[in-house]
Amino acid sequence: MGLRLLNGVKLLEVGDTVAVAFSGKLLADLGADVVMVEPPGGSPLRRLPPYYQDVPGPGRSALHNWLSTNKRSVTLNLEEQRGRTILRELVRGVDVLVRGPGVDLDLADLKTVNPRLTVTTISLFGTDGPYATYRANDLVLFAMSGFSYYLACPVDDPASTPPKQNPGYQVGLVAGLTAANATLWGLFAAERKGQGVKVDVSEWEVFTHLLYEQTGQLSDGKLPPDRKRVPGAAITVVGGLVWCLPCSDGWVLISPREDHQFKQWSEVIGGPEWASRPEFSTANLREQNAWEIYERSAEWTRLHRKSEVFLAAQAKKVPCFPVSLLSELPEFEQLKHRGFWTEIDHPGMRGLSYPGLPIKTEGLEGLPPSPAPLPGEHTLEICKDLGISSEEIKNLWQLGVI
Amino acid sequence: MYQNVLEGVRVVDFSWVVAGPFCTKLLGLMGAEVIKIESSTRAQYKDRGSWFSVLNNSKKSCTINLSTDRGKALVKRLIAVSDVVVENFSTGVMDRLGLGYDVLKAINEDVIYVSSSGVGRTGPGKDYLAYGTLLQGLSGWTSLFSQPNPRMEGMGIVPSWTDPITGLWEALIIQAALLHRSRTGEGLFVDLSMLESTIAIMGDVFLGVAVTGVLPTAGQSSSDSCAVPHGVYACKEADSWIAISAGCQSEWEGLCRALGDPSWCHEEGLLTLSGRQQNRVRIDRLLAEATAQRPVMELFHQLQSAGVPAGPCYNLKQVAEDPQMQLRGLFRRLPLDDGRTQITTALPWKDDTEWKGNLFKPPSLGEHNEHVFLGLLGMSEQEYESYRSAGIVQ
Repeated sequence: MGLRLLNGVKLLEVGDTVAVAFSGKLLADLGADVVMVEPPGGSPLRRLPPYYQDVPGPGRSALHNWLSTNKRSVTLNLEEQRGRTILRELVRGVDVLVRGPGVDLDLADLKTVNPRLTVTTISLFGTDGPYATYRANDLVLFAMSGFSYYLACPVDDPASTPPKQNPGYQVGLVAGLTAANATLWGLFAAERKGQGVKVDVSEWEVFTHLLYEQTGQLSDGKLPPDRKRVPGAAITVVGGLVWCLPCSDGWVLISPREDHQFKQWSEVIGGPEWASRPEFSTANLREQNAWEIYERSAEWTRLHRKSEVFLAAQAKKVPCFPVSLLSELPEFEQLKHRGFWTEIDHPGMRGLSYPGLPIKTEGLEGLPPSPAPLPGEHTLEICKDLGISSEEIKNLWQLGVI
Repeated sequence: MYQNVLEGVRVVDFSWVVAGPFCTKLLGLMGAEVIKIESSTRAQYKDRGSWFSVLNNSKKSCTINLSTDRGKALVKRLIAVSDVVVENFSTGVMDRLGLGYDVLKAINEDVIYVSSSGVGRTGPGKDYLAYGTLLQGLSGWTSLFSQPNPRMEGMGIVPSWTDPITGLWEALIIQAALLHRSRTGEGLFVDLSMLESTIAIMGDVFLGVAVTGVLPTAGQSSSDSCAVPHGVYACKEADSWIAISAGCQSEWEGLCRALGDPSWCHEEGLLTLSGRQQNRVRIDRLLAEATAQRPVMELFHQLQSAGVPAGPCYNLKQVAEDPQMQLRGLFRRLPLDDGRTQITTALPWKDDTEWKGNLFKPPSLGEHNEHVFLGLLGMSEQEYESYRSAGIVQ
């Protein structure tokens, strides 16, 4: 279910990256009127896996369907002068243009057409500087942001444990989420300034920006940690000790970091005498003795299912959750109860559920989601809205402009 | 100045730890006046270490004792002249403080109220206690990187993920709600789930499992998976690695050129993409032998000059020192109150005047009490003193 917060905001999207498409999708889900401009034949995003029933073919990209719900589509050949003229006309009536890397448009000209137009450019490394023309994909940006390094840090043997790769479009998706923020910022800015502004988003910079804890370490003048593990060290994340405990059918993550939480946890596992020993009496001491706590807690958790451990801990107000496989989440009761997964039937692609917005609101729900459009599904209605005659539309179609 | 585009928007910020502060820092950078509601008697507000400083730039701080009726009344006076309320307490805490949405709506009809929690404020799990790191496990995020293991090696517990991602969602919803309010005059209550925030940007991997029935291989890139080579390779210096991905023909040819045209590049079986796909393992081995001879930065620029997507596996110091990142101006050094300096981040975007947000130092506890109580609430010195001596303003 989308919202109608952004009703009245009109946005054009030109570009074939996940980041561009996801930023447009989010604004569409929040109620904006988003038109994706595709080349005749459709955007290359329509060819990306995963495919419906794992079979490739036209209209079978589940990824594209997720990225394009609630949008309209116009096909336009921007290589042709007439195609660019139509884009110019489209720009006249919108608030925002979001474009991807390599989408070469005459922005000065577009500004004369629509002085209030805000342009968000989402590039890989930024539109300026020595890397402006450098090439990258998610694998490369993930590595260059620092995530690959810190995900495999610390490890026993760095030489045989490469930095981690990411199995999806995490960089592009986070860049899209951030670019949607930047675009709304641009809309407010344009309103204040009385004319459109240019917003420049770099996927690399966005992803790096998430590493706030490591940024703080730079201030301390410390060198980044060596990837080699210090023997015996436990893991501390933002001040709190976490354990990963084995259960009979999987694992849980648990963090009884405060004194009272540790006491409650010891009650969950049967109130053993060891838990009240002085060497476990403060958070610092528990960190020093983390492995002993692990061993002793695991003796109990191994005998139970992860759902039992998690519910027993939560019942005692101890923060604890199972470690999930992706295949388990569609059945997680809490998500079902909140209607998080949204089933959207596309033509020829039925029964797939997509993640929805992560929020519940009171009273502002919009229309049920509309499926991703076919390539150029709305070309005709959009051309008519621009006042292009039927004769001209036929002409443009035959010439391959639309 | 137009760049402080949210100037005039006042945010009353009850949030602490990471997700909420990550969001309100963005709002502060965008020009909003963010007022942290803190307590000088509770230990958690005293720890203002390095990551606290990164997350709390561009905010103000006031200290109110919320356990007293007069303290609660005081914070309501502030909310009455504010626009946005942000909180991430456990479910029920704000209601028990008498600061639930219905109460606040009665004193500020168009207030935007964002209530952020682990798994949401409704449903069978609404009372679950959560930390962002644990939700990384629950959401399936950790499964993208490693099998669970006792030492959590490579599992994606670090870096912190769910918290900053939630902050990005929160800022987006607040901006959308502000835009809606400016057009309609309507406020909004938002129940934001950190679990859902994490999963809502994992549609690609969830759909992959739904259509194939196969879980992704942990820690291995599958986006652009038809590219060969596509992976991370060791370079000459100790623990130096480079990510390389050659998909199309021109990228493969660029790779060969950058490596000085080794003989294997000309083998007939490797001339086409389909040939290379059949020889992925062998190419990985040959490429690794070649990269091991080369300094990582030199190879990076050689490959990029030849049009090949490639990049070093940086740590954050290396990212911050990279000339392109310096040109972008994300990392900034600011003086702190105690004479030290902090390294922090500006907005992760810029406008055409190079504006990257209204960045200033994090507040000390209660630094803006006078601004809030004497200025915004228009108290007399005498009234302010009565709150101070009673321990309401601490």
